[in-house]
Amino acid sequence: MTAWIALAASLLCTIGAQLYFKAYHLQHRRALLWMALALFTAAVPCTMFAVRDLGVARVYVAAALNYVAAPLLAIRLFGERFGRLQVAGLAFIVAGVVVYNLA
Amino acid sequence: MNGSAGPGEPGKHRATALLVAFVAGNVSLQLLAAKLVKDASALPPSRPFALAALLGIVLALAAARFLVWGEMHKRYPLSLAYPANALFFPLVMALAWFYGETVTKANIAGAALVTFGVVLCLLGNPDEAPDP
Repeated sequence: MTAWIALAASLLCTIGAQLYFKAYHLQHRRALLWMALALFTAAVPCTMFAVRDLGVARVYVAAALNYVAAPLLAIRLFGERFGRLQVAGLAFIVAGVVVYNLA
Repeated sequence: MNGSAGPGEPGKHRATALLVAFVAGNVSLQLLAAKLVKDASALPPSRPFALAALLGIVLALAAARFLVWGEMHKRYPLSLAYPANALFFPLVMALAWFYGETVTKANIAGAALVTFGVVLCLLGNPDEAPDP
């Protein structure tokens, strides 16, 4: 259970870091950069605790959800555009994570 | 999104080549970090200094990735640059197998779906060419 919590924390830290980092490059506010750095750093021990019990492949494949959440939030937060194929691609990524964890 | 001078075909090729280089560098750093995290997770509590050293190296690799990401964020939309790095997944499966973790058919199918999803994301980029 602790490992799953560590995995969730790792995912949230990584997503947040990516968004803060992108925001920093758009707004050039130093506080955003520090937030991104702090979250990137916090993700490392969280990942290690998750890997200890869940295995490296399960943790890093689950991390694919970052690749779905960050772009979707980028649409909302930064007004980025998404094509239909991209939406399909994100659906495949989610399906891949689900199928992986069926094993 | 497009370059101010009208990039044209050479500009598009250059932008794509640069994106591939960024992705390759980032994926390599990520794979090495995954290996070190796996090594760190296997260390017993009686070796705190080795654990700290490994996590320190992982943080250094994260810093290097941070710089790569910085260059990517300057040039490409997050919705393009971030999914591109999911190409790391087939490689982390190989890493897991190397470490003796069980890799099932469902695992391989899942990783294949993720990779296919990444390809679709790249093909479906609404912006025709990333800025170099």
